[in-house]
Amino acid sequence: MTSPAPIRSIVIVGGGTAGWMAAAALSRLVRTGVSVTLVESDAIATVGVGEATIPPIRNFNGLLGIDENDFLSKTQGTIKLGIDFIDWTREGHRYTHPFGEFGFDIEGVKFHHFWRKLYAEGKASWIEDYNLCATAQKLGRYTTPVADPASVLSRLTYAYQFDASLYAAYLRAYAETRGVVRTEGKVLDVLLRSIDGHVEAIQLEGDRRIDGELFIDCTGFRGLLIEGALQTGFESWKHWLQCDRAVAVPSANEGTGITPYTRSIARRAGWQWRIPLQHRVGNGYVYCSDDIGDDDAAATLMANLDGQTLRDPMLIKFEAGRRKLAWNRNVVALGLASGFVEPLESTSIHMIQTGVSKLMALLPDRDFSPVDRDEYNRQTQTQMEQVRDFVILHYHANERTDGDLWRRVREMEIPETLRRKIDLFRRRGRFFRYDDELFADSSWIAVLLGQNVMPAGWDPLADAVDPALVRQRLDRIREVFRRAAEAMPRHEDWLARNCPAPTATFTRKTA
Amino acid sequence: MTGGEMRTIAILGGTVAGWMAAATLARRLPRQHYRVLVIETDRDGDGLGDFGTTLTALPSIRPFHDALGIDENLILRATRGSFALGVAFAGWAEPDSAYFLPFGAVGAPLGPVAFHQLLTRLRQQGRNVRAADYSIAAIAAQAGRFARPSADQRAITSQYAYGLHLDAWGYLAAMRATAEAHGAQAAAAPFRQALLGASGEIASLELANGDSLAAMLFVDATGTDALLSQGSLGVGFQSWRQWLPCDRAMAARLADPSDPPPLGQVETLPTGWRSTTPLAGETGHLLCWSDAFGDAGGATALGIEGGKPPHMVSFENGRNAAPWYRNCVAIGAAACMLEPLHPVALHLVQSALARLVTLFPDVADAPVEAAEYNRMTINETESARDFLIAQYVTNGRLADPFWNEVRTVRPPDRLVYKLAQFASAGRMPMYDDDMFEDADWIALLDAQGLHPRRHDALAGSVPIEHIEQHLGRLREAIIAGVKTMPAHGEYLRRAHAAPPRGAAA
Repeated sequence: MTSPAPIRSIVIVGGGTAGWMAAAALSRLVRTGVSVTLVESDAIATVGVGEATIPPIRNFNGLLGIDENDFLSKTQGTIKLGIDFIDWTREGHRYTHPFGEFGFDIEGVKFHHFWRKLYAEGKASWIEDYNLCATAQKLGRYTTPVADPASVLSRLTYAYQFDASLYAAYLRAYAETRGVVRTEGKVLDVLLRSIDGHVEAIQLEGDRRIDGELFIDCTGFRGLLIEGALQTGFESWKHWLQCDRAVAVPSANEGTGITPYTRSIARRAGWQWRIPLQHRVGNGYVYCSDDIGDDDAAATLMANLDGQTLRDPMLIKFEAGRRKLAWNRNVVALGLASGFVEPLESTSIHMIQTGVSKLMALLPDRDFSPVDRDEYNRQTQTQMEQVRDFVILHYHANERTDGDLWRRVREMEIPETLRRKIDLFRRRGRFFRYDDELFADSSWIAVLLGQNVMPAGWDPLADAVDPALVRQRLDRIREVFRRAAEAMPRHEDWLARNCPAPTATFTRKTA
Repeated sequence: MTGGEMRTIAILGGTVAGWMAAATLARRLPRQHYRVLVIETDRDGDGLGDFGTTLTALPSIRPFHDALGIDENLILRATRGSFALGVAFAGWAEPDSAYFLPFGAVGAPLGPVAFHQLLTRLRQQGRNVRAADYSIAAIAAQAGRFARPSADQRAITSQYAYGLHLDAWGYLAAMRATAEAHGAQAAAAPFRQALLGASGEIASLELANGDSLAAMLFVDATGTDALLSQGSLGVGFQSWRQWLPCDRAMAARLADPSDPPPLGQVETLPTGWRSTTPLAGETGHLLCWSDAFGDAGGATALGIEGGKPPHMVSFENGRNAAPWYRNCVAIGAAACMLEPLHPVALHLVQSALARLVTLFPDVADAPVEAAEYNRMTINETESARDFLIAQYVTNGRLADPFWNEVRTVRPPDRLVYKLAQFASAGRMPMYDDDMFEDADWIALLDAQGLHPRRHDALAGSVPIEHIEQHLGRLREAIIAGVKTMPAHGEYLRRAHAAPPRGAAA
């Protein structure tokens, strides 16, 4: 057996969230003699706006050994317990997609079957009352969860909302102290090796050339290496996810305050996000340019803010879809360079995170065996399609009456994988996760029910349990969750006590 | 559902598979709404392919028994059963080689580095290491010792799993008793014929006494006959002969007064293989071969010359094209026929039943549930098939036409992908509904001599001395652990004699 030759140099092109997340994780290899270089230019703006995340971000930070309070304080970070969806199902409707599970299973039967049965009989309230995150979210409260499964607080699951450019800066400090070298400069050219078309080096301004064995493309939508140089190709999902622009603007923290959740409000031509940070609120309107002009979209956004704007609105253009190969030759694309699904379920940072961890597990040798690449691409494609399906569900299952967009997405053909999930759920609330997909049963159930995909029936096994006992259990769960949430501090108070940012603008003074 | 309505589930086949279905459905479905009936046929066997009269159960049988409230000691007594730590294979990797595949994981990871990655690292340094030397189940099996695993997760004696060797008829009787205790019943008379309804579903079963039995759902547990599914409904069969050409088997049982070993054995022959399954006081022998390559030596190879004539089986490996079709669900050999090179038959029945319970329909015609059931079932049966093909395709018998043929056939795509990923850097991609764990795949391929070309990046960061120390400590702990176990025969006698659970110890 010949001993293969390990990679000696990795070049990350592009800073931003993707670049610095990759740099922070790969800094671990510096110890084993691998050089890790990140090339970025201060002249190029990053898309980083207020960013919301999902719970696995905590694993990423945990693996890096990041202190939570320090990180929240330095990124203007807040806690996120879920997403509030306003007007999505139909005008005047709202529901929550909370993190964390609903209720507790009884005799091996999922909680939501019992809930469905009692709800039909008028003996249960809406399912959110049986979820601790949703209950706390409604009250604007939060406290540090407890690991002990005997404690009700073990049911609290959370993620963060933070300023993405501050997060990138935070990770930059982390990576640089661990030996990652940052090079300032604009990329002028990408040089390919004639023998196999691999990227050999990048040419920077000032006649500088950076050679490398493995290149990581974090240059955003442009995909300077993966598309510009390697012409990998892009698979568009615009026929399913029709929004193609966003206008974003930060506003002052006034009105609603620093909520422990992200808000998404459906609008005629798309939807508006609201992500509260400690010092300001991130807002944006994601829309379909066929249905509304840029000026009208900006005007709609500006008319629907709860505080003063702090900057001119910024326009972002995009197309939903994926790079046909996230890893092509010796280039691995991360973040927007690898594909894009609109931030409705806050998955952008997560896709970067899974990309980095897959890359760590599949790190190639200098011979770049196609076997590693194929497995990376297979997993990436599956994961992106799963997220895509989940986001499509929000659009497709709507009963809105305004705007042509909503009619089109309601009537369109949806991917077969999603069709199957909806059909199974609609009949008897059955749900199966495929291939360890990102969103757990409880997330799908929250959105399916929220978007009014109401199961016609429930698992017959739910009928085998004494109805009086079931009702008693449900009542108790709701009561225990309500009391636990009421005993938590207000989210703002918790932030002020544990991780205040120097420039935080808490709207209400701590009691 | 309204209070007074009663629905019937009719299970055709008083077989092992049929009574397992009856026990599970009677236990899980609300008794006030469902009636579970078993209809016998005049051809009832075990419903699992009738490869002799002994069965091996994988460790997954324990939760199955627990869910039914069955005491394992009672099962052992009713079946003259013994414990199984794994299977010893001879002649597979090379003509004179042997290895042991334990049920459960091998070795222990070192921090974040998987055990088999450590082995690859060591082998690259020229060290010759055998995975099974670091499996407590393998060492205990070799020493003929056994005890149920410790409940203390920190103890090395908790790090293995066990299955059971069973007498098929004893197991059938135990399943029937369990099913009846949970309210299932046998029909008053055996099956005569099935009657189809206007839209091509099964309307009712006509019994030998002239009774007509209508039901909401029919379960076909009639083994390879698949009387309802493939017979009445005409569902197709998909052959796997191109990869798994064995199609004949011969089985016999011989008295054996010596203590049974806690393992089965499978040895290659020029045109197939033979196996032994030890029970208390006797041993089941099975010969399995491909008729196209000549006979396998018959009764002589089976070691029963001159005794009573052995039981003969003709079969074809393959699966039912649509295990759930209309209002009929086929289970056991009616759904999937796979030669018992690995003991998958009972497990496939268990998981089919678990799936059926999860997807249990409320109307006779449930195409959405059926489609999902079939998708998962087919994934699972094909993953079991691929495990067998993986063993054939990596065989090292170079002098026999049969073995050359099964080595050179192109495996199914998913298996090609698995093999390539493993050969590259020891990765094992897993799919939904895969029957075997990644640990099983890794153990099989490693033992078959398919060694990864390199280890992953993490394994490269661990110093060799640390790996050697880790393996040394592991080996010491395993040997110390095995020393605490009694001889299998002794442990088994105690288990057979144990008072029923709940009685004073």
